Amino acid sequence: MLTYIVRRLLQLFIVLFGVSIITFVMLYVIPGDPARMLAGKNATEEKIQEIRVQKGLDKPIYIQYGKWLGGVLQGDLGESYYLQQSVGSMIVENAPNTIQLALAAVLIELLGVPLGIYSALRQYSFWDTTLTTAALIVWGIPVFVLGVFMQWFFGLKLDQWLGVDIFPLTGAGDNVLWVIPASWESLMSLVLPAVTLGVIEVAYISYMQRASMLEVIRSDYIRTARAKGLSERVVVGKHALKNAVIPVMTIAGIDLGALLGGAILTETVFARPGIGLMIYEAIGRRDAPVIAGGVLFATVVYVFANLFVDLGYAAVDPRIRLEE
Amino acid sequence: MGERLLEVKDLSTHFFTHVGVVKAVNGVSFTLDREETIGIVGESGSGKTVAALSVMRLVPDPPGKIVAGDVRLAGRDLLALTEDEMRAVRGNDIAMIFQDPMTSLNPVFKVGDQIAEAIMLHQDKKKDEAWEMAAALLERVGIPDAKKRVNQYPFEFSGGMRQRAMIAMAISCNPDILIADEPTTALDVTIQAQIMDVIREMQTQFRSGVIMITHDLGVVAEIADKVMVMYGGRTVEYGPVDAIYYDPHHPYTWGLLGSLPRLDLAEKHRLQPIKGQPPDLLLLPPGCPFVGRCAYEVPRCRGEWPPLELVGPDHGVHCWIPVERRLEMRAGLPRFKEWVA
Repeated sequence: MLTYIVRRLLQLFIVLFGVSIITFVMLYVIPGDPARMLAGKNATEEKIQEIRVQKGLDKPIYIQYGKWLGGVLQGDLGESYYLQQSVGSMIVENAPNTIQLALAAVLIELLGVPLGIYSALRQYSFWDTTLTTAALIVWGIPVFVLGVFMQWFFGLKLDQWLGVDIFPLTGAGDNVLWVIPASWESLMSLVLPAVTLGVIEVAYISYMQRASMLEVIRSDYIRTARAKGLSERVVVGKHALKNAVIPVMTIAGIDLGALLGGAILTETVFARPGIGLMIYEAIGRRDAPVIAGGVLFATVVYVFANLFVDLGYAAVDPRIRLEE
Repeated sequence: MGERLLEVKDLSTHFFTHVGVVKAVNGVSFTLDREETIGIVGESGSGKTVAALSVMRLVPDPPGKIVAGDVRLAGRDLLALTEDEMRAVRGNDIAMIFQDPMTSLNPVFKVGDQIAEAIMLHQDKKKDEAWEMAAALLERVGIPDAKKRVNQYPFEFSGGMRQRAMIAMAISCNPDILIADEPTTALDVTIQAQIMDVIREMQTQFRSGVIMITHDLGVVAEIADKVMVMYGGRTVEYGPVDAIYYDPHHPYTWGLLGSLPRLDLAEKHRLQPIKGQPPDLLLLPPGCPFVGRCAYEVPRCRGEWPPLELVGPDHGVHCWIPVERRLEMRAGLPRFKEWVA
């Protein structure tokens, strides 16, 4: 088990190395000169050249990469071109909001598990058809469309009808213990983005859970369990459930990993400070150190989430042995 | 024989699918006494398994439904029981061993857990005690090192051992009736005989009645006291095992026996396959389902199901061909002399 984890962590370094190279190459290839953008619209060529030299942008890309990598190995992710702030401190500042949003969204999406099981156990019933159809429709809505709709309906219309301001349209509140909303307002500002992300995933998870439950419930070992005289509650709750959640666990785990790296679209629509919004804004400004640092952070989180999913597998399914 | 355990009368189980009604079991009757073994034989899709599942009321509903008949366990009408009452019967009075031991055990629970579960459910035992009994049962069905094995998962067992574990699970509550649905089909030939031995031993120890579902007439000859031959959801012939082997009356039974390899004969013969395909259960004729494949068909066969005709003590057949004609035809079969020899 331990050797397995160590090996996976070593693989992480290879992944990070690859991801950082790709990020650098892409930054180099996409149009837009960071020095020119930094200098402003009316800057002279000399001024631009001066900034270029100052930020080291006049050097070949592999020198730039080498310098950056050297810093990273010493724990220094560099400094933002614009904000006179180290990338490390920007990540520390933005991560709590993103983690909060990711955890809330995944908690919401886990509602899909009971919904999917309910559907599967009453296959082709009115509620199954309704839930499955609704799931397919919701699943097809792009997150930015749903986000804007949520802002319009729950942020604006609801407030107008009720005459009170319940859900803020944008932003995030203060947190205590890193990720726990510190106030009612802070919690309310989490609701719309979390529900936007969560609802779409509820649809996906419930659809997947239904499929996997239907497959399990028809398997031979379920018939064996019934033949023993077990009640339907034990057959479903013990024998079927443990087998049926395995595929769904993967989806939820990988979702969590992806969201922890920053929900770019959602954070942008709700102008909610977080890793996603940080990267999005940095891309607009060609703020290379912030982009590279943000992507690196997202990669680390994603790889760790995958590792936890795999460890979770081994806990649920005895056939999976991690040492081998 | 002894005490009557099971009486199945005119059992019909149909599946209601969107393409039509599948008459998987169509008016099947049989009885089973204590310590007796009945072999249900027939090819795939003849309704053997559905008949057995109907006795346990385990036919998936929907689409399946027991549409007619009477199933009595020691006089008790099983079809009239509530689902809760029926659950107390399953695993306790009637237990079942399934065809494929590779998929019939739950992969994510320990073997001991799966056996102990049935014991705790029906016998009011504590967990520790039930696990000890599970280990003892594993030992009884011939699994070495049972104390350790009970803590293992199914994937750590070979196919033969899994089937032994299934048997241990089935006998854990000392059932009156043991239904074995092709228990050796998915196993290596070398293991098959061992598994049959275990089943027979358990039957003697627990004085159970056994329903042995198989398409292997060799197995039936070895273990069964009486045989029911099924075809297209119908019983075409039933009787004591000797009567079925030495005095078969239905052309389908002839076909089955004729397609059996014989190693005990000096003279070599080709196997005689039954020509044609098994019937589509959606499009069964109102009469005998064997029409079309039967070489001796008479005009009446297609339109009307023949009534039961007793041809010996406890030996019945459903066939329109007059008995004298039948015996004549049978005598003319190339391999019939070998059967009776």
